[in-house]
Amino acid sequence: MKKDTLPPLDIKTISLALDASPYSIAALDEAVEVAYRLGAKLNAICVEDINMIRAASVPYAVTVSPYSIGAKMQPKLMDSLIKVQTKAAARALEYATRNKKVPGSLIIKRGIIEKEVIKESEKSDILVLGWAGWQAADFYFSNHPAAGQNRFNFPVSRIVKMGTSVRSIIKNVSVPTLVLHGRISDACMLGVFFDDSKASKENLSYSLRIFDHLFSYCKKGKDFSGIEVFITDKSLEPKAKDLLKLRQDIKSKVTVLMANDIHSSLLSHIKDKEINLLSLSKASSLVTADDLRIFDRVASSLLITV
Amino acid sequence: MTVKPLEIKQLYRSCDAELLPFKTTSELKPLDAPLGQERAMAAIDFGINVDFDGYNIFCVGPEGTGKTNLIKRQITKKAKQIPAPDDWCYINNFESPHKPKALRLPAGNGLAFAKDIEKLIENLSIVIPSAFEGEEYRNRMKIIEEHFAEQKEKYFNELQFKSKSKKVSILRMPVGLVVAPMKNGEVISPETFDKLPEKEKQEILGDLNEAQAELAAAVADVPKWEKEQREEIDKLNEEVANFAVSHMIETLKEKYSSVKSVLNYLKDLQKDIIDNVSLFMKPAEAAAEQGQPGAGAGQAPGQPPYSMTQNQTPAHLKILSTAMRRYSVNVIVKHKKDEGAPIVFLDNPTLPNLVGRMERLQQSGSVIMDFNLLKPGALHEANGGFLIIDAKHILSHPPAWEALKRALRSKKIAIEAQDDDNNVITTIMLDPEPIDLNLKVILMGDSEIYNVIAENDPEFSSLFKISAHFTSTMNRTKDSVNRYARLVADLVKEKSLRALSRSATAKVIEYSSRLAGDSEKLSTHTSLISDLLKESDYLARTSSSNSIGRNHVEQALAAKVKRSDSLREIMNEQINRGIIMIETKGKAVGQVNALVVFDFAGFAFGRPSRITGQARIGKGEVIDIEREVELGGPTHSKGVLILSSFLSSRFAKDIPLSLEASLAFEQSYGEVDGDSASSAELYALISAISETPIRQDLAVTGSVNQFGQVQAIGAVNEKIEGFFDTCKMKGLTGTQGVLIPKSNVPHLMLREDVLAAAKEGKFHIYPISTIDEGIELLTDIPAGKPDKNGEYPIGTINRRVKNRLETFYQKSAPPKGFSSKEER
Repeated sequence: MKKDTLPPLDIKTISLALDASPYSIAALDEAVEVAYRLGAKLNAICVEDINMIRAASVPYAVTVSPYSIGAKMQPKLMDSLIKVQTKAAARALEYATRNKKVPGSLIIKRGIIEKEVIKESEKSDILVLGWAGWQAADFYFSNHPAAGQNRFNFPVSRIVKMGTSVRSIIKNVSVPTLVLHGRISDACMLGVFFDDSKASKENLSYSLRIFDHLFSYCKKGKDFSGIEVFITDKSLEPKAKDLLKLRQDIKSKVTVLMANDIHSSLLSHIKDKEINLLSLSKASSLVTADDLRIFDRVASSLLITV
Repeated sequence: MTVKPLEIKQLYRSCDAELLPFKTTSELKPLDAPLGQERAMAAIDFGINVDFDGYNIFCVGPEGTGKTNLIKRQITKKAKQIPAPDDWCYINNFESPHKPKALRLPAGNGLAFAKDIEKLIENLSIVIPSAFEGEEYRNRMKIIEEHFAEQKEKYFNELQFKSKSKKVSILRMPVGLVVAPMKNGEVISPETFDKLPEKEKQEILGDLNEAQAELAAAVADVPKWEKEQREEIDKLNEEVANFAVSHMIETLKEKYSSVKSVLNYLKDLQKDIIDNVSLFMKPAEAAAEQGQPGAGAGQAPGQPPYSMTQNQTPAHLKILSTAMRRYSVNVIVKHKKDEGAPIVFLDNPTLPNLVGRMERLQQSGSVIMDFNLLKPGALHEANGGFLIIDAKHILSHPPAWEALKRALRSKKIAIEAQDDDNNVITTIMLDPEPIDLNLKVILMGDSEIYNVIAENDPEFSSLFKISAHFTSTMNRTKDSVNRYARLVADLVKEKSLRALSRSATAKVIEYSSRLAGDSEKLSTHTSLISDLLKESDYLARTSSSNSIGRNHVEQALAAKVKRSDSLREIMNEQINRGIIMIETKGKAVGQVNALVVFDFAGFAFGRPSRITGQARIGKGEVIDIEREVELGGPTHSKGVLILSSFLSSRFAKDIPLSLEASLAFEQSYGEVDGDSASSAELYALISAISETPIRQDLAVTGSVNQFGQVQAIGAVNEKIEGFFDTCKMKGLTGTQGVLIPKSNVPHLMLREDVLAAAKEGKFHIYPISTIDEGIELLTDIPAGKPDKNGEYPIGTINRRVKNRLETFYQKSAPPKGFSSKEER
């Protein structure tokens, strides 16, 4: 394997936003797996949402739910709920790290969720987020029969919209961020969006370096495993291939997206080829445009580089 | 008027073996028709063929006359001509589970239908889950979910967007949504809010209230959306389930297209399966929802609650089959197509055995009672055919008797819940649909039972219009003797015994007459004949004989007597030792040897019993000492009153009867009934009044009427033999004998030893028609006939009696001018 021109990957600390919601716990499991392979430690960031605490204190604010209107949230009760959530996060962390013997610590902060997560993530080398928070929890606990719904698993039958906090974090984060929609440890299909920008080149380089650490083994019998680079113009192909040569041990290919509908074309490829992880830079148009709504229609996780 | 003793041929009617047209019974053909019960057979035949309500049959007759076999024979023949009745099943009533429905199917189809349903449910347990696991269903479900999720999301996002243009934001809290004032992405705390300018505060409050109101309006729609979503999902589920279910049920509908009841059930079944499709999708959880047994039958921790695999595990199928109790078919009556009408003999006619029962099942601490636990009774099994019950047995179970009448009246079988003292747990009782009843009931019993029911049960005569009377005897003719031999041959074959020689058969026929108590009759007690044949066969076997000979039969009879003879031996010993005082020679005044019969454990024997009479002046009363001490039964008392009346009418026409007489059975300490000793009592009284001694070497039996005629009595053979035994024991004198009613002569079938003694002139049997004949024999003095003035010749017994009574009269209240003469 020729890794000569690729800078070394140095990930010693992984941070993870953990609010004890089902998605965040599933992401925790996956983060522990990655930390184990990288030999890194794991910092779980649990933020006590100051907005919720403050909202509970607002005397003229009432809660509205399908089952009651006008109930007043008690600050003490909210405080208790916050503490319960924190304890659940601590238990989840302890359980997840125990078997793998990954050093982990729980960092509890009180403040605006997005701000605190971004702030703490800056002390780590990579941030891991679940695709959504508590808003996605309802279908975990519904009675509808759907296979594989389990609190410790990612959902398999429904496309969940990205959480609002996650969207906000992605836009403002300053470290590479893994946003998990499902398990990636058992998979080995990495898609990379390349538009020849500097950020895009760095993104492809990062993807090539982190590839082995993210994917533990490939599923047997798959026709193609490795990296597929999506370009918007055929002229970018040689540049992409040049970069891919840095890791000739990884199978790779370059695919040109339809120019008149790049987004749909990309989504279609992601779905057809069962790409588990899509890597792109924060500066790419996919991230900056339309409040990340394109990703409400994909089932793959995201690796956002900065 | 001296009565001569009977000739030997009158004492026993033998059967001439030479006249029987066979050497052994193995040559004889089986009887083609029942013997001796023609009347009963005609009644049964009528009863089983007539097709109107209430024509059930009561077979009246003593035990052992072959009622059961004869009935079975007649009914079996008829049953073959009747087509097999329908099968009956109980199925779930989906709308009212506590009222299971009855389902009627053509004979032979019940079990097949039950199996078809079972197979259907098994297949559906695989097909339905597969349908709900299929890609198409998942996609359609996803579309519904997505639609409603997007609807909610869109609405709230719009609200969120609108609120952002104001100074508030919608926050998702654990207990619901909250609208709170926001600035730069942070909620404004109350302290910060208080510091704001008043105008800004009011603006914020205004925005807050507006946003809250909009949010509340939106949230109020959520239940409605969720309901719509559920309805869409239900509709989808129904469509998918219907598709999965309908084509399978169509196959069954085609198979049972000619059975309307089944088609109706399949329609209900299809609807119920679709309404309860969750039973097939989540066996454990759905069963818990339905409150069904087998619920909560565990899933492994950490496993998804939903387990749908194409190949079900045995454990899963077990859970499933428990929930599927709902759809099973309980076949309670099944017949084969060509087997004819059923015939059921109900030995133990308790209520549950008759009408069926509801069983209970204890499971996981609760008691289950459903249509699967209904069990049939004899009425179900015999429905469409014949039910035979012993009347005594069913009457000893009054609830069963009432239930039988109810069923016959209503023509329905209703399985009834029975009160059970052990049933501490109260359960909801089932009320299963009654089943149509078409049945012929045959009760069997003796005449006593029949009379009791007929007199005391007003419904009986309307439900059992046919009584078939079985007699215990039949006429003995040449033809009937030959047929009787065939009966013997049938019994021998039936019991796999050795064949009888013709002389053995002749002895059996003679025994039959003895059993009948009449030389002109044969007994129809086939069970007793059968017992004799079995015992004779045993003796033939032990003597290594290939056939049963006359000697074997005689030995068997003697052995039977010997086995039962103990009481007679004891009594004879007591007589012999003088403990029981009986004279067999000489004469005595006012003392007569009467004859009584004892029946001990089915063995009847006779014995002399002394009757004494005393007479004195009195008011015309004949005291029956037995009646005075309440040891005399009514018939005995009647006999004494009749003889009193005879005395009065013969001797007290012109003057009142001025005597007081007393009669007693000496050394009798038990109840005495029957009037067969009334002639003996009259002789004792005549002897006492006239002071004329009576011969003690003669015994007397016979009842007397008011005209002095001696009437027939029962057990004449046993009585004669009883006195013979006593005389033989004390020593036969050659003058001893028995006076019997003349009308009893045809009944004589005396023992061999009695015949031998009679043949040698050592024992005599005298046929007596009137008291006068009897008194002459007993006193050796003429009785005397009255002249035209009513006077009896001097020296006659009647004269003596009259004179004595006149003396009593004179002494008691002598009229003026009357003089009495005692003449001898």
